[in-house]
Amino acid sequence: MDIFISALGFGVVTASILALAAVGFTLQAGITNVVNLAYGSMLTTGAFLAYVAQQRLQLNIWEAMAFAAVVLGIISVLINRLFVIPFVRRGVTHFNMMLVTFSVGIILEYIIVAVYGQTFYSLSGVPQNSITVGQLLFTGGQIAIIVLALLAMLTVHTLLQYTKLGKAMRAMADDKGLARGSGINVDLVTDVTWFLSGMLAGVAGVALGMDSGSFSEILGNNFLLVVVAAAVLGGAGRPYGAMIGALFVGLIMEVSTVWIPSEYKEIIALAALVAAVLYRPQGIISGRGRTVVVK
Amino acid sequence: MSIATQYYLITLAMYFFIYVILELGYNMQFGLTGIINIAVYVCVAFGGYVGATVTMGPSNFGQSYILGMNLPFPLPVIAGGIAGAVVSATVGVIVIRLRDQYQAIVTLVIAQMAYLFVGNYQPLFNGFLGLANVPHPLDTTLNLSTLRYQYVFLGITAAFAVLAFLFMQRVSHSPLGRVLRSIREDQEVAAVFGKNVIRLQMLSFVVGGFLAGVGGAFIAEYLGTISPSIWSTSEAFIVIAALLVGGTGNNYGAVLGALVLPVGIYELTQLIPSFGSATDLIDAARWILIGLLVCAFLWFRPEGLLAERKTKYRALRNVAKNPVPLPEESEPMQHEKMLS
Repeated sequence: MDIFISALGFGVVTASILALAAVGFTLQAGITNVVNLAYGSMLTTGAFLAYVAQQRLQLNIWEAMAFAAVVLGIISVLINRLFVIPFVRRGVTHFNMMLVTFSVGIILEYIIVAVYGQTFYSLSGVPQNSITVGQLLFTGGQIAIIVLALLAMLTVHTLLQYTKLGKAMRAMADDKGLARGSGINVDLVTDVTWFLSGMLAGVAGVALGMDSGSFSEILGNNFLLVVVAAAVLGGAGRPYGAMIGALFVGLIMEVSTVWIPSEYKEIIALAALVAAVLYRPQGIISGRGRTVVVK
Repeated sequence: MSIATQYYLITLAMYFFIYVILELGYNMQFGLTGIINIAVYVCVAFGGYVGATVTMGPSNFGQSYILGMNLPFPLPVIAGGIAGAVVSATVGVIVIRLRDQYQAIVTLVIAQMAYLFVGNYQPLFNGFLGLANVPHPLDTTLNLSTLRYQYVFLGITAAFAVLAFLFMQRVSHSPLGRVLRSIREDQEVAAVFGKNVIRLQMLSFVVGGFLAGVGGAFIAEYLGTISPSIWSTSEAFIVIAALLVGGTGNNYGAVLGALVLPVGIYELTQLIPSFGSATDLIDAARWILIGLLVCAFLWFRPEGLLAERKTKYRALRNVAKNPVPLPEESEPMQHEKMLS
């Protein structure tokens, strides 16, 4: 029982990081209909930006996180403007679009390698004091990640439900042409979406770097497919689904380590993704009749 | 030529012929039939592993692996091909009904699952350590000097590559090739004409997987070692990018792609002298170059250097020579007359 409880604690932390990343990924995928395979490298870039902010600007860990979020948001908009939008305008196939974003991811990753080499780095000033919540034992850093994820989810919820921008985003996710027709500035909303997605990637990347202790250039790309799994399990392109998907994937990954060796926990998450695509492409919680074409 | 240069050129030529085999297999799956397969390198890896273990004997320096055998030469390559075909069939059953983004994501995920499983489950193929000390084929029977042996091995690989090329040319110009292209263009239309789309896609997928497995067996036997580090997603990206650059759907394009990308960029940049910490920099520069190249090709020449030729059929050509006379121009309609 003891192992189970501690696995549950790890599961909640993993789920929080996943939720940050998966919501950023799925928000952008749902609204712009582009699968961004550069997202893994963006997570890595977030962690490295925080590292740079700490080393060069002497910021503390939270200021560094904010810095990483804003800079990565700008990088994200640049990726959209320089690589994605031109190809979308040309009407490139979905697979070729994925090749473009994958290439962008490779370029980002190897820019990091060119500057920092293939060695390990770590963020300083991560709170290490232990805090007990009920029977679960966390470090201060882990509690901060959980609170941060909850705050971010609340912000995304407020943005989507109670602001005009959120309404525009939801309209675009449903039907881009119709949204344009009803006077929504589609290009601006697309840019804002990429910015938000980049910010969430920045926060998630820094959280991932904090949680894993030390990281190298493969940090985010090792995590990317788990993020995709959470997003797909929640129903591709649906932020609320991604939150549930993240919780589901985070928990089954960590809790499965009670019965099977922990090396295989990622395989469990990926198997859940494959099963979801084959049997429940609309996601584990199916919403009000949104059709997803899979065949 | 000095011995070192000869060795270097042999290595380059080896990579070229091996990649020709891989690209031809991938071209059958993606170029001809339109199936997205990011898991292409899993077939290569399993072909390599099986091709290696069937020659390594029951035990080899305490490495743990399955299928320990001592098969004579052409058999390991065939065994590798069969392994590739079996893996391909397994992947195919899962992904063949999916389309587009979902097919891409699921094959990507399957590749990662296979990578993690083979790496962590040591009894299968010695885990992340990989297999080493794979015997070179025919080494003991031929009893040649090392350099001469290299030339012989190169000749064998080249022969297989040529065979694969002739086979693929035959397939693409056969009625089967035409059906596969029609499936690529529109599955529904092919199905309406009574073609069993799923079965034909599976056939193409498995044949492509066989070629990938053969290529993998050559890689393992040439290098004498195979481990998960040589088949990450980036390697699959090289295969996919090479066909894109060479020309999707064209066998000559597949050959050219193998020459330009894996050999041209990936291997020639190793010539650049690396000093100290600059090793990372050269590696990074190479990958950034490949990323930019893929974007550039998708923008400027998405059909690749050698575009797929439009097939002209004899029956249509005859029509072109003796055009069927068009019906006489009909009289303008009544109300137009009235207007004029």
